[in-house]
Amino acid sequence: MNQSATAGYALMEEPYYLPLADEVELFMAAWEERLPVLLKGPTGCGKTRFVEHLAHRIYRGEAAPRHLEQPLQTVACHEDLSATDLVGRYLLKGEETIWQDGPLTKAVREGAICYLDEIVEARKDSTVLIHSLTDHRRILPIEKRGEILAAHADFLLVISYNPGYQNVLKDLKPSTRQRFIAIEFDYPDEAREAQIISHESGVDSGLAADLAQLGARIRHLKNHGMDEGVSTRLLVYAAQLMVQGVAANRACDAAISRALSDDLDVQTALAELTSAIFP
Amino acid sequence: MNADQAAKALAAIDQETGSAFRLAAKPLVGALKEADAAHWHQQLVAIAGAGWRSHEAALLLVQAAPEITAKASPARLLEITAMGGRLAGYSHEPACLYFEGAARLVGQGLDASLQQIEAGLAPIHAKYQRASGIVGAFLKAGFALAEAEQDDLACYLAIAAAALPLPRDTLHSFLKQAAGERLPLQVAAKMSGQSPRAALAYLQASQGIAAKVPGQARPALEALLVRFAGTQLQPLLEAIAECQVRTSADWQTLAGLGQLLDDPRWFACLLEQAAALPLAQPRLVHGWLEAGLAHWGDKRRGDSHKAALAYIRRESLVSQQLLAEMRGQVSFEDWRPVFQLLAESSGIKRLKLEATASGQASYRGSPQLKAGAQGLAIQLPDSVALFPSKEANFSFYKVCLFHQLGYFEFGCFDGIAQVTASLAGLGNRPLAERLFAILEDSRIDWQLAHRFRGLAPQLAQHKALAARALPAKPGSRQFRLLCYLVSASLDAADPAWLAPDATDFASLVDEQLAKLRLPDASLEDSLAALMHLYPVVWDGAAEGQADVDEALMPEEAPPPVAFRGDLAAEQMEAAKRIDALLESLEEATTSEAEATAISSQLAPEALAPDEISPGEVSEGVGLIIEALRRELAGLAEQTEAGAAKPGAPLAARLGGARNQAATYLYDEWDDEIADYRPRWVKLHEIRTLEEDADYVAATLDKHEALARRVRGQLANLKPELPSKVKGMTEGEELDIEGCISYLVDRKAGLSPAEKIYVQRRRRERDVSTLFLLDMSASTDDIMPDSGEPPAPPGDDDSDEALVRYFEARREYEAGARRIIDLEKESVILMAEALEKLGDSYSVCGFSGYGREQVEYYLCKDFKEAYNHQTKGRIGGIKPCRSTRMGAPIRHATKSLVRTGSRVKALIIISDGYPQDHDYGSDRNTKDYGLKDTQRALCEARRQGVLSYCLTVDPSGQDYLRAMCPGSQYMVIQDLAQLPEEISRVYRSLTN
Repeated sequence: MNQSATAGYALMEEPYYLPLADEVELFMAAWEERLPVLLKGPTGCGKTRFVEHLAHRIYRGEAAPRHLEQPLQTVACHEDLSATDLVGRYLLKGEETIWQDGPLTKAVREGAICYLDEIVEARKDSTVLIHSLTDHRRILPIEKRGEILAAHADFLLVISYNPGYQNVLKDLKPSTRQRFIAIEFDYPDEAREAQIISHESGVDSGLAADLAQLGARIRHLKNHGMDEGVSTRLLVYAAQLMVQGVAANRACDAAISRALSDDLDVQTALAELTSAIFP
Repeated sequence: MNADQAAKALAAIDQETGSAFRLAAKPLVGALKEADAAHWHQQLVAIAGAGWRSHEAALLLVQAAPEITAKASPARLLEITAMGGRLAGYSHEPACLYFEGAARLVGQGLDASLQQIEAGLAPIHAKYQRASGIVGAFLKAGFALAEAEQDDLACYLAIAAAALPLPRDTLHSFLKQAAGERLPLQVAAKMSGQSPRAALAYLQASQGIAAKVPGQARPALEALLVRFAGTQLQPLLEAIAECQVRTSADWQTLAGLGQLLDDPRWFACLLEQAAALPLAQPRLVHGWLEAGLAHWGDKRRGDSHKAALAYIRRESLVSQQLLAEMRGQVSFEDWRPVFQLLAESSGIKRLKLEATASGQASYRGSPQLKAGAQGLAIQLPDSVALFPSKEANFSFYKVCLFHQLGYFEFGCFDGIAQVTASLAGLGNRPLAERLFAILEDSRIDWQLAHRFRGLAPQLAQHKALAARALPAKPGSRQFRLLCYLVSASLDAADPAWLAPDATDFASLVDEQLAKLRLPDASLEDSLAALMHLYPVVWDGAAEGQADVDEALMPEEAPPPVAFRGDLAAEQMEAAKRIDALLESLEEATTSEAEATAISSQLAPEALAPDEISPGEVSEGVGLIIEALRRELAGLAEQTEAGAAKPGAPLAARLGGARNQAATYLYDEWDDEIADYRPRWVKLHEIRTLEEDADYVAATLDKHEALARRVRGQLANLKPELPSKVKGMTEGEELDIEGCISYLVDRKAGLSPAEKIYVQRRRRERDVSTLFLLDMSASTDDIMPDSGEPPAPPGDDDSDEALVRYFEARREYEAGARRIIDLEKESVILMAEALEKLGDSYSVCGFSGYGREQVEYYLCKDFKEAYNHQTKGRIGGIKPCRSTRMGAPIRHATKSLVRTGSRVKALIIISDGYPQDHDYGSDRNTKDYGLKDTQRALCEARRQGVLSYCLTVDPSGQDYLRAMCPGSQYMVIQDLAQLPEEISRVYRSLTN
């Protein structure tokens, strides 16, 4: 059986998130009105972390509407992800069949935040599912059970979408897009990226600044087989390697150069760049 | 004859001789026996009477006679007289010379030398009795040498003896030369044993050699010449005369290298190349040459002489690689992609990296920013071999590059307008510019050190080296102040530059530079420092001197620091303005369709605003191009007006860029030396063909049925690339996941979804094809199916008949189909069909003349639309010159690989074997061209390009078999078949 990567989070600790603009306020406003949210932005720029952070803020903060075991349902979409994976399916148990809710149904039922990551990757039938959930109807038809599930008042659908991918075939249909308010994300500027790297990895501020500089420079090389440049996540990985005592150049080589490209010229250039930046 | 009779006889001939004889006769009376005296008198009279002015010779003999008799012997007097008598037979001159010289030598006790000369004279005189010039020259030189240098005399005589069989002029000029100047006769004598001709050639060149080769190095070189004397020495001597090497050490190295070589032609070649070889590292060059000997000595590698020449000239790949490897040389070309990526990583748009077009052996050009109509370019040295290790040379490159990028990163480029405005206000503009450059360069370096902590140590190292390389000689006050400033800017402030009373300047510099060292120092800080330092450095400021506008002389300012290059504010400002214009051009073409249209029409590689008329592109863009052109013209004018200004080359550069096609260098395989000749062929990619707009339409009209057939054949091509699609109602495999849901649903009593199969489907085609057309002159030949040409008039040679014939002939030629037409028509039919099929394709032609001028006509690029313009270009393909195939195939391969398509096909249509005037050393052999083409096709195959050669040359079998496997070529017997054959080939290649 195709096990979609789903996870319900307890989110007991506050996930770290450094706001870059007014995205937090905007999201909270959308939450108040239960408006579906589309997060746009390149890989590893902090979209998922942002949703976790806000789910925590909403459900684990002082003004939490109520207690919820799993305030956030995250689904990482892939090309074999079908409507069934989201909604739920019958399973065999002995001679019986029993119904199991999918993550979307669970969130709709319980009033949690459902986060569909990289929605364009999923099969077409799954994107159509969300239409009825994202307009005034707020319902989820569960075909197999002949049930129409009205969404809980607190249910919020958040999807993410990476416009940077070159696959033109996989683009969101306007009919889907126009059901969401869109918050655009990009990689933070050098200073704030350094702050994030330093916080996430515990590396000293000098090295964090160097890593942020390296990130900014690599992002100028978008057209060389690296569609989006290096993500903040990879920079943090490099920093974590450094914290473990790996030399800066080696850490960047492993976490960044080799992760980003197989092209020898690009790897060499990144190695030269790294050696110019790190003492 | 007694004395009296002799005296009378002599006096009858010449009074003076007669009286002189009377005086001389007395002392001789006792010395000569009677019979001898009588004999002598007779001879003497005979000499005096031998001819016109021969009495002068007799006079000389008479005057010398007493001394000769006294110091030598009476017998010698007779011998000398006899010798002189023989000489006087045809002219008095040699006899005079002889008697005069004989008297001198005997007087100095050098009779032995005189006898040597006489022995040498005999054969010469015997051969050239009547040539008084030759004999005279021989004597003159001989006597001079006898008095100066005994050893040289022997050598001289030996050479003269050996040279006797040579042509008269050659011998004569040697004798004259020996009489007139001091010559290295001992060396020449050693050579003369092997080849008198070589010895004389050497003596001819000796003065030039002496002027060129320092004394210490000469013996080694001479030893080599002696070694090579048995061969053709002349070319070697010429090579020595033209050799660029100056120092004694370098000459000694060269002579040492020469010892390794067996052939003087190789040594001559080495001398030609000397300036480009790292002679300062003798062991390295020795190693290189020894490796070369082993390489070309290997008989399996073809012609060893050619291989040796190619090796020494560094035209073969193995030679270049070895030398570069041994000297730790880093070449721009090898690192270009990496440097380009590093440059791009700083986020500067439209910035290209270029090598200074010097091709020099070590670093000479300086890095600098250059503006051309195609945008901005950073120029870096072609190669760097300043340091023994590769790492050090690479680090120099890196520091150069980062310094240049620093101008952008740290705000110099953005604020350059402000800089030129400030500089314009200062009286001595060139000095102000140099001062600014020093200050700004030092600020950039310090900023780099702050920002790039990893680069900082390398930077510091190169700064220290640069400080050590500052000129050592004291100069004017201004020169010394500038030197001090440079040394301070390199973190090595050297007070030795300053006069003891100039400590104020030191503290001023410290104070100003301190501000530039701060992490946030900006362009304004550099300008502020300039304003403080300028009045102090320039004396003229205080004296109220008029404005100075002349470039700085070398004695007025130190040269720019090597890794920093030359920052020319004016050029940078011009660059800035062009950049701004290009940006607006880019903005004006933001819509994707327009952008591709414009890039394809303008060929941004060689954007030449002058050659584009606004009508060619859409209106908005046209206007911008118009503005761009005006601006460029203005800039050019502005800089031309100040031709003496430092910015003057800009106009030339802009002009140059405008008229250039994009050029590429390609390697070529030389089968004779069994190695690549790297960067041997210069290929010009030309986009401006004379268009023939109606050709395509006319072809389609003419071949409507054929066009339909070709289209039909290609339409059958099936899409390729199978992929699995899940969730189908039918298919080859079961989808396990679907099956489980199916079962579960059935169990749950639901109607199960029946989409449980996986299908293999073919997706769209991913094919790129390049049609490469031979545009050689021979494609102008008329096709055999064009009917019979009019018959020549034959016996009827009346004017009317001839006129009729020529008219008929002209008509026939104008209407006849040519091979090039056939090529074009085939490609047009293919293009039409491919448009329908949707495959990506490109149409190119090639021709050229010589390795420097291979022309590659890009009629339609892969992404370009098949529109009016591309059709016009295809129509405009016409016969040009030669067929050098290797480089065009390599270029086509490169562009095919760039498409990234899964199937890449190269279809070459030609009419004969590859040839060009310098395609191989022997014009008449086809081998070189065939082997190079074969290599190029091999390279293409290795890069995943499928190639296919079609030729209309009936004898094509012979050489195509050598060039490619049987399945990859075809000889078209019936020309009319070409279009269909191409379509067949296309189908088999791409499906």
